[in-house]
Amino acid sequence: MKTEVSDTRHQLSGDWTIAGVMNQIDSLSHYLQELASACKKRIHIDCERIEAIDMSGLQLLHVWMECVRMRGMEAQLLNLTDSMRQTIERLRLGHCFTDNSPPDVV
Amino acid sequence: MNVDLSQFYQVFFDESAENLAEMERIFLAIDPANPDDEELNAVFRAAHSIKGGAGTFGFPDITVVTHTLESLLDLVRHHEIALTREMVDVFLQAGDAITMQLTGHRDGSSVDQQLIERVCEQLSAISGCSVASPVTKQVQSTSPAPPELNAEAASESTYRIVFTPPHDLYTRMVRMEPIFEELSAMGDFTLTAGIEPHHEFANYDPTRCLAIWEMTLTTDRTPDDIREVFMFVADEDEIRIEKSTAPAAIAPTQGETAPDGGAIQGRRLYDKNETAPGAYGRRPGEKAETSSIRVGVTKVDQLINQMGELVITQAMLAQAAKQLDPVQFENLHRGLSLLERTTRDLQESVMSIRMLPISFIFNRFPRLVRDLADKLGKQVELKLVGESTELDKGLVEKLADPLTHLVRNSLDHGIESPEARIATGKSPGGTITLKAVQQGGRVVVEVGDDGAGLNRDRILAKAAQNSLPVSDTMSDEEVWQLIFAPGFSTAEQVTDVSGRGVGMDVVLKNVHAMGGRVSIFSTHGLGSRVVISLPLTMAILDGLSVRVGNETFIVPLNSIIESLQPLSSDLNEVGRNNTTVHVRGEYIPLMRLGDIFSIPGAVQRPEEAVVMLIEAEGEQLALLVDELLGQHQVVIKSLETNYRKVDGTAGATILGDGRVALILDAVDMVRLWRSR
Repeated sequence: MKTEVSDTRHQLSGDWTIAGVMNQIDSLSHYLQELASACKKRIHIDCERIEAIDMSGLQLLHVWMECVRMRGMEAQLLNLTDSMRQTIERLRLGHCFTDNSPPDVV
Repeated sequence: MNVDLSQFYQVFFDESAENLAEMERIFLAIDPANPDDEELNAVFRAAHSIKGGAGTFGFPDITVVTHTLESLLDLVRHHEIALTREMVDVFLQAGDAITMQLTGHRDGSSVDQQLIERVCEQLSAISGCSVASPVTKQVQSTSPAPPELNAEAASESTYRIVFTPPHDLYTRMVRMEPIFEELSAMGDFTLTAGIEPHHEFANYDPTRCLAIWEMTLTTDRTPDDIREVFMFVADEDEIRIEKSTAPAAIAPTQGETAPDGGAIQGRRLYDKNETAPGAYGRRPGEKAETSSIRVGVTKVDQLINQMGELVITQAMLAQAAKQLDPVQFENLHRGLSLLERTTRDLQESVMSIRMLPISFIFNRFPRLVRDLADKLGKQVELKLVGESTELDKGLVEKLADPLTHLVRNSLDHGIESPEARIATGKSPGGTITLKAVQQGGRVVVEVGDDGAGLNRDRILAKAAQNSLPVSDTMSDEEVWQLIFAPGFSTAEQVTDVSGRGVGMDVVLKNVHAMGGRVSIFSTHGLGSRVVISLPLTMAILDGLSVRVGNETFIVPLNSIIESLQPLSSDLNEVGRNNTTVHVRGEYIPLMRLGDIFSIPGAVQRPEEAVVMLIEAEGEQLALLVDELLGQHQVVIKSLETNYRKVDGTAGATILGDGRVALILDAVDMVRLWRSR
């Protein structure tokens, strides 16, 4: 299981590069279905356990967050690793994840 | 989806090695005073391919060196600076540096960063000098570039670049970061990214690229320079570059037309000026046909082993079928005959997969000879003959070190200094010849030089000093063999080229390990030749099976001259236990296989048996066997691996009836006879 659900915090983990993005799809879909019946206004996405991420992984994360927002919820990233931050910065994708506010660190 | 990245790395390493080899080949052959434009383009392409690959696979250290090299090569190929011999030297050193970096990434070996930096500084220094020393070719001075182009090149412009990548960008393992970094290094660079909206997660494919990047770049570089950065990722309709004075919002570019005035149409960048397959590193699925595939050596070896088993099985079936009536079982015999033919064809095809042209080794020597000759202050021309001769891949790889030793020896000890050559009436420049030729089932590789030749007296004196058994009556051939003794060197001083006495014994050992032989021919004052004879392959051979007593032996077909039944008058007893056979004026020593291998029941009288004449190392030998059985294709199995070395043999094989037969080695037989 790549994704762990804990109240309003959602833990992401594993390989989010092109080698591993397909493995993330099922758990992300499952979580989206759970959200459909949940009454939450905001979820936090904890990225601390993401081992590696590249452009394909960031795209997946962005599309998934958009889908979360489409269900009426705010989604915000937490605990980004330095490596993940650097990748976002180098690809200039910061605005895709900030939701008008910088990522939180908890 | 699981992608084994190491597989892609290996392809990158292999292709880069090929590109580096091609660059080195061209640089060694190029005439700096009059370089061929096609060759300059080819080295530029090679450098660019390595850079592109390094960027794609995330080896930024290689990207830095190749970028510097490529920039300089670009100036050279556009005749903006004149090529000099010194530049070629630096280019070759840059190739070495990149090779070291590649090896470091591949094997984890250490990389000399100081050397890398020194090479980059040298390359940069040349680039810096280029402004002050433009090419003064008449053709260029008479055709100046249009003023507007010159102005464009000299002044800075701001470009708006919109990149809408193909959907397979991720699966092609393209990384955009190095591309953005390269653009950033070209001037004032800003980048914004966007991802196409996708609100249906159920049908979302995360391997499909939905990103769009828009950039602005203020630079003095040309649009062509910008395009080249995208060479490996951008297709005709995926990149748009236009002069701009203000940044614009991100918009997908597909289907759009570039505005008039300043718009520069995108195109298939890696096809620029190139139509050849593979030019600028085409991507999989492009129109160009792929002419080869890369397959692991272990897979090929497995195929060859299975082929060997098939050959044995076919021989067993053929043996069993001999007991069956040819009329009653006509169809079976016809089928088996067809099977034999097909097996032989298949075997040849399979064996050819492992065959490589010997140029794979020969091509490294122009550089080695050039560098060493410079170092030693000698003038040497290297001649390569028979580079297309094919040899088993395993042998090609093992032959590299022995040949390197021999060429270095020729350069250091063989070829004299220009002064010494002139003093002896020779031309100041010497010649080293590397030659390969296929002779029957063997490949003969020769390293020859027109230098001083071996010094018999000095070799004998040194051998005596090293307590080796020597005498003045030794033949030249025996004297030359002394240099194969471990630790033997007649060099008066040890240099970093040679003289430590390690080399020739290693050469002999390596060649023997390949089932080969080494011979030396030398004439004092005229030069030397070292001849290495190797089996074409170590897997399968064509042989004639012979019976001696109840045992069967295989004699390689390529060493057999003829077989005959001698008359009593043709036989001569010479001393004790020595018999010669008189054949057309020649007296050939007779070897009784029954005696050598202690086989009971072997025919003793030559008149009642068969004499088989074989040849090796220029000598003939008559083998006494009871009977000739037939021609076979046999799979060679190593005796050393399964038992121990048996004198006079090259291995063993399994016959159709399941019995083991020894395979005779003609050279070893001749040596055995000499030792007796």
